[in-house]
Amino acid sequence: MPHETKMKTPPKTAKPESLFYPMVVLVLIFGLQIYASVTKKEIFPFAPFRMYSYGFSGENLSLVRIFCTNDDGQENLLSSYRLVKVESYYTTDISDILDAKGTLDRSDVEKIRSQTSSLVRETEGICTHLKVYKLTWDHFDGRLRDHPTSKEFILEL
Amino acid sequence: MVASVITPPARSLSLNSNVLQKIKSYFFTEDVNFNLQFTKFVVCATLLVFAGYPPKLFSTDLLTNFQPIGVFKFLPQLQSAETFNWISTFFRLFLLGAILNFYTRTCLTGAAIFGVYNLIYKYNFGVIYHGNWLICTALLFLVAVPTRAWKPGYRGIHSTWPLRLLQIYTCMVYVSAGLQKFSRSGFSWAWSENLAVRIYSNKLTPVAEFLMNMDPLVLRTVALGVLVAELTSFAALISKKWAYFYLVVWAFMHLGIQLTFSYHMDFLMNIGCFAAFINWSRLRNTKYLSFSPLSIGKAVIGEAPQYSQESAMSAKSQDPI
Repeated sequence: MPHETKMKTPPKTAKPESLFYPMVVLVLIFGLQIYASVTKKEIFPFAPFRMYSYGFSGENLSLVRIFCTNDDGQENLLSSYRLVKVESYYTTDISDILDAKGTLDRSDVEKIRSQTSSLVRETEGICTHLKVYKLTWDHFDGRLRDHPTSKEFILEL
Repeated sequence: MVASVITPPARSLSLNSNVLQKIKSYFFTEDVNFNLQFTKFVVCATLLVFAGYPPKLFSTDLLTNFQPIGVFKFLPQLQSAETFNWISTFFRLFLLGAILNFYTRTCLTGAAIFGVYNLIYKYNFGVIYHGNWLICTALLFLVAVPTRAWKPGYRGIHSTWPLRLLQIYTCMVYVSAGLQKFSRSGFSWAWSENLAVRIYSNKLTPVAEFLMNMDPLVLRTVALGVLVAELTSFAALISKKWAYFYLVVWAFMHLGIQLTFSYHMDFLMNIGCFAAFINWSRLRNTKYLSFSPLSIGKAVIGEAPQYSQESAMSAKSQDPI
């Protein structure tokens, strides 16, 4: 009996997808994110994500606090600035101004105000004046917040 | 003698190929695109609900204080809120199109272009926060997914790597935040009055008042918890259980910050990116999730999605973590 040989055609398989494109995307994204984290540079959309990384000591604390006042004289806190040098990105540091001039004037406060979106939102429509105070604590903790060692009125706009 | 000389490189090669094989199977396992589709749905829906509305950026003093960052250095400054409203409208329309699988990649690309403008524009005026960064990046990752991977019933490597990318990137964001804190301020970031000072720098919310009235040890412990949680965030990649644990920790962290600081709303959108960690395929066959975003989209267009039985079973067995 003749041996019948029938060649089986191999099943048709789908061509495997190339890894080149996803590998390039992965390497690019991880590379740029690691670079941004290590060098602490902002390369949008990659960032070092500093997220409140600067630590503030409660010893000898000085804060400049900006209040918004309405016609009734009611004070609403708009923002506080710590009088320490903070590495910041594009932000005017209030301590730079105070170090250079020893005081703040209207243009300084306006500039700071314009850079802080919450200030702009809060002041729209309700604010008639801005008041700036400098408060200091020899030792600060949450329970001593209303008892500063000194409270100095800096200016009213 | 010869064998002993040859063996070490051979073992090393085998080790390398094993590691490479594991990395390859981790990133490039073939899978149906259900988890990818659902993650896209959650990311786009989060943006649609929480973003896309013009902030108050057009007061006179802000227009004079334009300090462009990144791509905005090459783009003109917007002069009116009306232009911004148009950008927001296009952003929302593209998001809606992407959710409904209507020319998905085109809509995602449109949403990314208008979304970047919409979400990041407010950081061109002096202060940069990173609240929108993660979800914005997630949108860009979705744009990188090839068109064929969005088609109903697609099964391949493009269903897996974007989710892995988003999972690792999410962990990287938190680890990076922890490392920056630790490298800049050390252990004293947590074990000092730092958190109290930060809270007092803002308008006090009821939760903030409550925390400030407690013993200083309480705030130090909270800060320590945040630091440890951020530094160990890569543990979310170990297993599904760890991932779910960290998703809860991160979500509570964001909610806690929002309740204490009150200006953390943008960061809450990060929670939308957590969808990449969840195995939606498992929920798909339960009574809790008998619909899919794909079916909603196709129902609108008039075509039902087709998943093969094999693909559905495979998807059930595949764990995205």
